[in-house]
Amino acid sequence: MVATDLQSLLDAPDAHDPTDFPPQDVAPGLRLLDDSLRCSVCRDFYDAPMSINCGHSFCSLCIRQALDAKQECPSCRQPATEAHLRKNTAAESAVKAWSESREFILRLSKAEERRHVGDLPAANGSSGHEDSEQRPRKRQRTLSEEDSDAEVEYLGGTSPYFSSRGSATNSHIRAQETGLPSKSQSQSDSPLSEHRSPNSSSVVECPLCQRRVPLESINQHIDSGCTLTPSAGGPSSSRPHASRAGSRDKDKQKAQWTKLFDGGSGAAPPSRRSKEKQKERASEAGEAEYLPKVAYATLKDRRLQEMLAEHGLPTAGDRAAWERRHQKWVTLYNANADRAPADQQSPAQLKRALKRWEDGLRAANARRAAADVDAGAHQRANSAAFRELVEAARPKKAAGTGREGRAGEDGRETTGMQDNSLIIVQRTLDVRKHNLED
Amino acid sequence: MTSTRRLQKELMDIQTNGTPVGIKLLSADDFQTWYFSIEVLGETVFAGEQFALKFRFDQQYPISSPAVQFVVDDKYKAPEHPHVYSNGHICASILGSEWSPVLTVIAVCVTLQSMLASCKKKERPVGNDRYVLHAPDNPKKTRFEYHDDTV
Ligand SMILES: [Zn+2]
Ligand SMILES: [Zn+2]
Ligand SMILES: [Zn+2]
Repeated sequence: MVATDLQSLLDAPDAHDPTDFPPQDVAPGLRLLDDSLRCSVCRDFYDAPMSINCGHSFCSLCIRQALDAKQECPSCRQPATEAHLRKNTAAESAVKAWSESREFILRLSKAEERRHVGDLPAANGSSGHEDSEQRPRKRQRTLSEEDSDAEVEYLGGTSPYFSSRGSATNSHIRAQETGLPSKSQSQSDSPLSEHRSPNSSSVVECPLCQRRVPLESINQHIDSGCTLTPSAGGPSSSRPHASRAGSRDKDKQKAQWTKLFDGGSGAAPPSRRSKEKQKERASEAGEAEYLPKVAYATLKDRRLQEMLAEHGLPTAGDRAAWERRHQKWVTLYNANADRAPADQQSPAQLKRALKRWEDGLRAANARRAAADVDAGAHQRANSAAFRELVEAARPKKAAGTGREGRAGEDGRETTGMQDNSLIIVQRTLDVRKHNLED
Repeated sequence: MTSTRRLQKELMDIQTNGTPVGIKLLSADDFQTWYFSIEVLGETVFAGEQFALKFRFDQQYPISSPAVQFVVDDKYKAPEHPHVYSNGHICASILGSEWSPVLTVIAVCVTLQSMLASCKKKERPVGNDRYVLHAPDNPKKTRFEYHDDTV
């Protein structure tokens, strides 16, 4: 229908989606698995996943921004604050492993899907047929090829999915709704480790987290603060192809060093050296790693400028711009600190992200400026009349339903709409889930 | 940046899974403004009518809610509903204080569709004429007091 208009908008170099996989009847659980590792705010794979008090998880950056806007869980609306954030390392390792295996599984499942469709000619009519018609079409927009073999080649070979590390490690939370996270958590160590070392079958239990980790990667695992349970690709799994071969060699080297230190004996506890290293890192990783939130209202201009300068941030713009810049910096910085050490970005990268954000903000403001100036002035001129109106529109108490409007923050009354919208959210999620299972 | 990636995914979802019954994507030429058509199915006071919704996104989307309103032009009118002003502005908590970043454009459409479906009597909100006279262009600039949904 609107496909032509959408074409250009959809041509993201690294667009990926649970529906890349065949439907439930062909590849049971694959769409749900892919979906369960995504943050429900950004719909990308979890990037530095954090759990909050209700048990829901989000990317660190997503939940930090969401909590800045409103102190509640975006999914279930339970009150939550930054103090509730905890690293979800199980989800992090699951994302890492999935990012590495996704391309491979995708290729296998596509082959299976073609076989499946071949097996059921016209008999199974609508569903099988529809799938075979629709799915390839979806891919055609990034692929100018005609036949489905080329498609598989494309997906398997130069999958744009891995070309950007941002995409491979971003995050979402429908985990809870699909019931999958617990499954992937419980599986997260074993498949990783079994899959990994064909020639060294020794697996040891990490003395810190008690997870079973391949002997050759125990030091790496401990060094990472128990966030990494490396598989063949090691910590490089989510990086671009180019750097892979190199870091794989490095991993091999590292593994060799590990063997030397451990004397190659299967059950050897991690070396004293690595324990010290772990301690060192833990102390580095203390409070100092995170930037405190700032109550800007109490700050003098000069102090704020100094604080920007301390981080090498520009002091261009007005006071509001400084505050915005500093606040965003704190959020980006802290979210980055939640990433596994191997995935953390450099300050220069963070600054580039901050600049992109400011550029985008400026562009958007310019776009809307004219309309807003008019509307704003108009509204100010009419503010008294406006207040009256708002008063007139006050919610009437629900009659006889026993459901009373309740006072929200700043004394405003909210009404039954809240529950209503939650029901809708739930319904929408159910619909999604349903679609994924089809 | 945030908004673009997320909107791209929503668009992809729409293209792959389609839209719920009664809701159709009219246009999405960029990542600032999208239009949807919306119909209420079944026996309702809006049977046979078609409306259009306009979504505007800022860079903070989905952390911040989209600005959503019914289109009022030569072709479309705002539904006559106690939460919908004749200029197309909508008084719905989900678009304001009850917005959540896990909500999507389609979730908003579905919510508004069900808001219309549950309407028993066609009427405008109290003070419609004065509101329309004073309203800002962007409905997000209005601090709505949400009408009771159960009435
Ligand atoms: Zn929650
Ligand atoms: Zn996220
Ligand atoms: Zn451990």
